[in-house]
Amino acid sequence: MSDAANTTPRAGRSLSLQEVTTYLRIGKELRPVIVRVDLEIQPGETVGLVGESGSGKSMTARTIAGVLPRGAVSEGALLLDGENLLEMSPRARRDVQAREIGFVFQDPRAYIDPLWRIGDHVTEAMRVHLGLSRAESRARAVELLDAVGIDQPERRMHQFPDELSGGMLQRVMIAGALSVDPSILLADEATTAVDVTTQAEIVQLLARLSAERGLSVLFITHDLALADIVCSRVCVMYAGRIVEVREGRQIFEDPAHPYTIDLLAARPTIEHRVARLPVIKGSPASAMDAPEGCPFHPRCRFAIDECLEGVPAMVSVRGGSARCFRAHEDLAAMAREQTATTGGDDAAQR
Amino acid sequence: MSTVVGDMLVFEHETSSRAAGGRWEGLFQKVVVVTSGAILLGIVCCALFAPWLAPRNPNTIHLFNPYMAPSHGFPFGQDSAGRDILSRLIYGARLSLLGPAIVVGIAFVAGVPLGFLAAYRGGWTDGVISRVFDVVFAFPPLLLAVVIVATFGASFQTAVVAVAITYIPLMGRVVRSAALVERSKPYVEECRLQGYGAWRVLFVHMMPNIARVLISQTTLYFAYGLLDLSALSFLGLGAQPPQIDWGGMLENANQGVFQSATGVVFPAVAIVLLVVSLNFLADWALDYESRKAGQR
Repeated sequence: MSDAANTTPRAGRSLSLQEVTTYLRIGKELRPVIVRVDLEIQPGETVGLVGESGSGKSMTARTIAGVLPRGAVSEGALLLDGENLLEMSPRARRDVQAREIGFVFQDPRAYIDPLWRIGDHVTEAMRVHLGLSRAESRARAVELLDAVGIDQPERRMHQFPDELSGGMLQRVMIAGALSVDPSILLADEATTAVDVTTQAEIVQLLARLSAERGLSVLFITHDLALADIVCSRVCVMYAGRIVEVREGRQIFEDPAHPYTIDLLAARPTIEHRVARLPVIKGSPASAMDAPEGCPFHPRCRFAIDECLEGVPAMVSVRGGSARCFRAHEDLAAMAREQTATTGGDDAAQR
Repeated sequence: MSTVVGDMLVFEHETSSRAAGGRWEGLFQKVVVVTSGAILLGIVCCALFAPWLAPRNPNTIHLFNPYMAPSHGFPFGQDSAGRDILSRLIYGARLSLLGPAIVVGIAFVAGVPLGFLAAYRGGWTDGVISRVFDVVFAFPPLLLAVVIVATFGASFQTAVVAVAITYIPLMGRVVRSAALVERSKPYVEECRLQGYGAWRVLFVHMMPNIARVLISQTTLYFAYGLLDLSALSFLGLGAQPPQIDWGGMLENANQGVFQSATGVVFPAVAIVLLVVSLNFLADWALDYESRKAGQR
């Protein structure tokens, strides 16, 4: 697109979470929202984080970005190129995060100061963190807006957020997040609020930026199919824990964790018609109210006695890993069989 | 707080009903705004150009003509010492504008940062600031001002500072609650994510977003401040002779109200006109802002 926007090509950075647990302060006690999360993003890689509402996806992103509610505590190791962000002083951490981590939210309209012109929003971080002059930062902002696919960027610079459509604002938000040239981009449901056409464009944009800039992207979504298209690796979260990590299309073709299997079975497909889509019985648990043992066991159709006793460890399985005692069995095939014999209706009522 | 919220709600309601109103209502609003603006401009001009506008020396005493009705030479009549009420009104505009302006200025400069600090830092900072506000609130404002003036001696300066002290927590509390609402908004979180300092977030981002509250409160407190200062002057605790302000004029004329009412009526009318036109103008200014936003 534009050369100047890429004038500072830099080696990408890797981000690694090792056994990161975050607690929120509720009243006087600390309660976990994410538990011992391991996550690895290589430079230029796009990793998907998938799960239901309350599964801890957003809290994982917020832990990485250091914007947790007041009183929250994170422990474990949050390594950016080997440096543990959690052990830094708050000020140093803030500086590193401001420069290295960009954040794109679901609802750009709420996250952009409504009284600021687009140009001022996109240039602010450059002026504050890079010390660029007004003219320099504006020139770069125009290039950035152009790079994220906004037409007439000069004119947009003078417009207010309420003059732009949701899709355009999402691009503005991405431009703003990229303005200080971060190495990590956290996209928290970045395409959920826009229509499908725009969604496709934004996804392409992220893929292109990732490739061009060596940007590492954490792509958070509840849309499994989308994650599958966008990401080189997909992590599935349940009750604040990552329960399955698989490469590429594996998660679709060969899911290992019962939760993923049921989640995939609950999607409508155009290949075959079903009277009623199967559902997963019960309601999703969050890390706070997770039951003893494997947090998924009350809803799991493959649960065994062992599942009630301890949280299963992450085990390698067929090129990925899953947090299940029975991960090595072909649960997906068993599930298909079960559904075939009892019928879709039964699955729906379970 | 609740009264303030009440004011804002009333204001919102008026705005929407006016926007939906017919052209008579629009015309009426224009007339009101132009009249208010003219009155305010007139009063400001009186204050600025008093020596040229006043027909007589406001402090020249005519002891043999106290409480005279309006006459050719004294169009608004004469007060207890036979001084020209018109000239005194014109000169009185100076302190009557300056006093509330300083009160609001102090309340703004001290109250806004305190309110912001309390809201943004939260925790014990908020606790300390809010409790100090509560202590000040525990006293009736005018009574507190009277105590302060009685302690430090009656003068215009003391009265202004005393009233200002009672206004700081008012301002601080309104700003705190507005900032608390604002702070929880996503764009503030985005600012935190970008790693901007508290100063930038508060004064560059949040302050413009609560400008409506600040403008309405400032105008309101200007009007209240004028009334409180006038009350102090009326009690003899404000501006001292030969300083002239409208409240002091009321006090002076109070004793002779049955001989001549003009000494009471004209300063009172001046105070009411100033307060009312200020309120209309503030209302219109905020309304204008929302109209502009609507057109965009």
